[in-house]
Amino acid sequence: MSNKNLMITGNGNTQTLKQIDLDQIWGDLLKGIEHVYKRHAMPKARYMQLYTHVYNYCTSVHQLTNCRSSSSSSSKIKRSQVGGGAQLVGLELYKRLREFLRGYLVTLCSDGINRMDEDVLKFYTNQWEEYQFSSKVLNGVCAYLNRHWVKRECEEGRKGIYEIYQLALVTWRDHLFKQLNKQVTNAVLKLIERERNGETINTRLVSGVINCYVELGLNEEEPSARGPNLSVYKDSFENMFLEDTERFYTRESTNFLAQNPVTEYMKKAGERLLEEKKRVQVYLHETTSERLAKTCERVLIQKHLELFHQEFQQLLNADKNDDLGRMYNLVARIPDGLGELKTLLEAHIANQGLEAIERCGEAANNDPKIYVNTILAVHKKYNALVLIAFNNDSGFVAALDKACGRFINGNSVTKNANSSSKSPELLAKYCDLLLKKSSKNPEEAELEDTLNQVMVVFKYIEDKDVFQKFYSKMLAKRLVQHMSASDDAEASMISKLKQACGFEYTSKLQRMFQDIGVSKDLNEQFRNHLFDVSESLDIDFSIQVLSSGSWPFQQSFTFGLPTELERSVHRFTNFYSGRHSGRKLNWLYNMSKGELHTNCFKNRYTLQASTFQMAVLLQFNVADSWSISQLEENTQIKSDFLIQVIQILLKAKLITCDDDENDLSPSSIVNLFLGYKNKKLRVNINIPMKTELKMEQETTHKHIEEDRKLLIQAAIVRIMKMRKVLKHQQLVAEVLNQLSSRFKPRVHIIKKCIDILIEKEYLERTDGQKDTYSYLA
Amino acid sequence: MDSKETRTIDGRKAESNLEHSPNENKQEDSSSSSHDNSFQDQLQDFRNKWKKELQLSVLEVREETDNVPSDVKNDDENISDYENTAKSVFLKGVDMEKKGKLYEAIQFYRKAIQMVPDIEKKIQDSSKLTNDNNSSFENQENSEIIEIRDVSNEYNNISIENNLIPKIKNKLSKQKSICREKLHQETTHISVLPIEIILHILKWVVSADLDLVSLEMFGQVCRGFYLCARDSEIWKLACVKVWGIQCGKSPGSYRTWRQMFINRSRLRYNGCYISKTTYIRHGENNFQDQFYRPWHLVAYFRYLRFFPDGVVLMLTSPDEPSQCVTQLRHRNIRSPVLSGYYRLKDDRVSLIIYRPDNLLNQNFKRNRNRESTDNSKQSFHMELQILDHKNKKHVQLQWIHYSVKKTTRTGDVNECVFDLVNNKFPSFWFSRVRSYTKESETSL
Amino acid sequence: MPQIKLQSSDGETFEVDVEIAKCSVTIKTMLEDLGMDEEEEEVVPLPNVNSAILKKVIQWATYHKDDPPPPEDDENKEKRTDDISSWDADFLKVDQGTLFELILAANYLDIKGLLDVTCKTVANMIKGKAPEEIRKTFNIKNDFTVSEEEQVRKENEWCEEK
Repeated sequence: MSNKNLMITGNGNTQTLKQIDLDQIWGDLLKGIEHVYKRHAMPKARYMQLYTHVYNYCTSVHQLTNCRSSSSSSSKIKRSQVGGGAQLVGLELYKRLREFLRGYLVTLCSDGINRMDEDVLKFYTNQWEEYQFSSKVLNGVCAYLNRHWVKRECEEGRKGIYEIYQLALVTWRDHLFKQLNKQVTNAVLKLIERERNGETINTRLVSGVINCYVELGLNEEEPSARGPNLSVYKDSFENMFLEDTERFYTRESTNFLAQNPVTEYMKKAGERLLEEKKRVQVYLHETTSERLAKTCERVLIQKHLELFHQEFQQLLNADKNDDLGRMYNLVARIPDGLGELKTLLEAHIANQGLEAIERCGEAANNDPKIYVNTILAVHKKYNALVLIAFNNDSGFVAALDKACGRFINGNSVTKNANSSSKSPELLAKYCDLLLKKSSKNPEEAELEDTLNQVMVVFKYIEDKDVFQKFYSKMLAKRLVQHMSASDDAEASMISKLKQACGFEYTSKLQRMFQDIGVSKDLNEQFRNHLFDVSESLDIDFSIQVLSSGSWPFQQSFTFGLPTELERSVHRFTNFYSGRHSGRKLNWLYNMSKGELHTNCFKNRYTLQASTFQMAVLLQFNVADSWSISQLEENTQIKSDFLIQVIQILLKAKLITCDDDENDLSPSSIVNLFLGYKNKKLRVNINIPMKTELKMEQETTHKHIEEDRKLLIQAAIVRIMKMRKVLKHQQLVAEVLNQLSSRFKPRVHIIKKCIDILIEKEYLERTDGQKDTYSYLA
Repeated sequence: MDSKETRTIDGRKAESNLEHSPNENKQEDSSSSSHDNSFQDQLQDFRNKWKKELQLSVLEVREETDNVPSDVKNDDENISDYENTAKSVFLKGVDMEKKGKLYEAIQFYRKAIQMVPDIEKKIQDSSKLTNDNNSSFENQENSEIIEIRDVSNEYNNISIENNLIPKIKNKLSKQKSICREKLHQETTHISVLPIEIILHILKWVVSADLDLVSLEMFGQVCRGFYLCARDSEIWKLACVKVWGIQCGKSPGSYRTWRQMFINRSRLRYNGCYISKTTYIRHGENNFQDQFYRPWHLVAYFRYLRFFPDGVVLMLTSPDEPSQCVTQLRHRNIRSPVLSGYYRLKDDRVSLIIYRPDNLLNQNFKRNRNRESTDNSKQSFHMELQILDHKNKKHVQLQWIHYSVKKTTRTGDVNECVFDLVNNKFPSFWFSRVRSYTKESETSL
Repeated sequence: MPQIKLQSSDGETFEVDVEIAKCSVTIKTMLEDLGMDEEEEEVVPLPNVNSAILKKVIQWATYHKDDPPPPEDDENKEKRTDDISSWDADFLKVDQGTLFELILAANYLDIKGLLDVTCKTVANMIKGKAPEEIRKTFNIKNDFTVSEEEQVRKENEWCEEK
């Protein structure tokens, strides 16, 4: 260790500041630095010695003035005005270091300038790695210079002064990179192309160059802001690389498509995209990922989009779900690329639905089960397609929904019925099938599943009010006649409807449910009451009190209640009005039924009969044969109705008549058939009458129309109350919007409703303005 | 200032005329181009002469002012010692009167007049004599004279500073360290420290409190330290602390960061601004004796302490400054000191000071019964203008706006704007408090 | 814990935990640059630090080895770093010469914490003092000429008391 630079002067603790000329230390320092750049191992002692050289030089005070005289005078004067005060030592050393690096790199460059291809890459990456490493050591040795002199120069805003490591990078950039970058970049691009062509390459050569380019992107404006800004990488590599990529794939895709089907091409394109993504991960800078993907997508997909569209329809027709998925994944990368596919899909599903229903033919018209299952099958198939192949993409879900809505609300069945209401009617009937007690009732879990399926179809139904009407009617019957298969299933279905359409939609259904429950208690109470007043029950009697308005029943005509029943009815009426004064009870005889025990036949039969049938049959307690006019007089049943009752009894062979059952006249005589025989002892003769059934359907539809008018009027008034004045078109649009969750009002009906409201003086036509209404408070 | 400049040597006035009318010169030049060179020479000659004169004049002016006491002394020698004593006694009285201690003043006056009956006239004469000597000054008071000298100094400051740095640098280049031992010492001397370390220490000296006064004192120690203390990086950092990005990238018209720090309007941090308010409150008349009209003289102080980071403390107290200033030393405050924020824009300072909730809550706890009245937030809004006084920079804060906002629990805001009647809101005056900058807490 | 041998200028060797030695950024950088994994018992010479001072530096670094790293941002400077901890205060009860040598060592070894605390100590010796007091404190010769001194005084007039 040459000791002439040491600052300790030996006399105990005392130190004095010594003067160290740059020349005193430079010789040894240079030797050390050269050692470093030759990549020879360096002992720690030597490292500290070099560090100390730099430290001693920078801290020696007399250099302060030396540098003044040695540097160009003009800049110094300028500085003394602005900077004032003191100066730090370092410029001379900095200059020499810069000079050393320059010299080193110029020599290196001359060695590399004639190399090409992989050779130049090997040279460049090797040299770079070693240079980078050595420069880091140099930076450590010069840490003191960085810490004070360089830092201060930068703080004072001096340009062109860098930390030593940065200086090394800048020097590399200026003296090696600038000379060699064209051939290096070219070599890298060639290498990448070879890899794309299936060769295995030494990726380390590429990543070495890329790392170097990234590191060289110095932020000149703000040297203090660490971290590369990638300018070198972008300018000298990325742009060219992307151009190359575009060229390569344009050629490849065109050639490939000329020789292969689109389905094969899609596989290839998918693989290529994946490959490029990996390429970035393995040896490029991560920021390239996006631009590279964009380039590839443009060349590989966007350019061939039309071809894809053509193929799409064929793939749909052939149910090639895997290929469809592949196509989706490719096209989804292109902004707005999916639009055409969605349109195609929607049309396809709608057609498939229509065809499926058409194929069912007549059966679908009357069999709700076939109808609904056909719809569900189509939906299920394409729902699965959307879910799996199209990644449940919201656009495709919407296309599916639109298509389903289209074929469910308008198809061959509705066309035959000449009404879109056929769909909700059939769906409601399907529900009735499911929920009514029957031998074929499914298991509970299965039922729940099926009900969910029903809801899928329900979602697409436009005329939800029609469904509601039919559903409530059938529910009422199930409840009154105790025909429900399961209370839980009923409740579950109602809650599903509530979820789909809101509280209002199901409020009546729920009331019906409640009434049944209340009636059960009421019967109990009534029986207790009778027990309390110790009146004996001569007949078994139970009632159901149904709140009017909630139930879709119409009151029937009155008739002469059989005396046998009269007492019970009277008793209950008293009991009920005693509990709820002011409530009026109307008796729904047409919904009532009873059981008669026969004593006149060979066997003792129990007949389940409607009240009207009972009234007629009880007459035969008095005589074995009656004329129809006598029966009419005794029972007070209207004659046409009576004839129907008698027809049913004739059919049941309980009575006989000499006249043909279709030719009954008031004078026809009916006799009790004493030889009545039946295998069962319990016989249900309570069959709904034809007129009843027909009437029911008609009234249902009529009711729907009327209800709709009311709903439309209500909506108009609501809207006008808020808007006060509104144009016709806007009003219609808002009404359509408000009611869309229930049904699709027809415009001419809306017009009619507006007229009605004008007549009722809710609205008036605004003076002087065409097509404008104003609200009258 | 302009009028005072012209009051100096005549030659200067002539020169300034020449300098300020280059166009006239040119016209002359074109008409007599043959004389061009000789005229230029003459001009140059004149200029050089004037420069010398100017430097001399500065010295002269200083000498003159330095001479003032000696002049008086000369006069005094002619007068008997007895009269001299009387004079000093009288002057003591004047002093007292100025300080408002009238009772003591009268004692001194009485004593002086007893010694020399016409002492007042004599003193006036002698001061006239002094003024005659400095015929260029019109003002009578000594302090005014100092001010004028300062003004001329300030004018020279810029050129001096720029001259001195290279000059000292030059001299220092022959020296081997920034400073030298005065006496030989065995242990390591401060001169071993490299400049970067001295600068590092100076950043600690200045500290986040911007104690640049200590830095300036350091610069007066020796040549090397002078250069360090003029380091523009330190001054720049200080400017950035005060004005933030409003500083710009260069000191601009201030020429150096140091000049910007000294001259640009700012607040002083190494002490506090004090405003003493006095008012008279009438007591109740005695109904028996209507000539007995008691009144009370009420005096209180408002203290403001600013910190470089935008925090301001306020204290209102009847106690004298010596008892109060210590309460404003640290930012972690206790009642009754209030804290808030200020913002500096040009020569205006806007302050918002809050009365914290807990102060009110204490009140609230004590008087549980009258809840809603005290349960409110209060904030003080002030706008003050920074003024110089004579040569002292940024020492006065004049009221521009003052209002108090009260937010009640219910969310209503009441704002009360005060009418700034002069005697009701006297200006704040700066006083340095040494303890504030005694210790460095954080580096600049 | 791995150890490292540090050698002072006067030849004394100190064995220190590497983690403690890395307090010094200079040593830390060197170890990073040269690698640490070798088993060899290489001595690191510190030719600018004598044994007395190196001993103190190691003492300081050992005490402060678990300190949280200094905040990088200037924003966080407001944290109360104000008081020199009592341990540091005791540690720094040394004569001026030693104090300056500690500064030099901290600067040489790049130990920011030690440099700050020592510089702060010196700064507090300067603050609030008149020029002559500073000269006296540090034994400094006034090398101004009379006119220079006068000029400097005038430049500084803005901050004078009266």
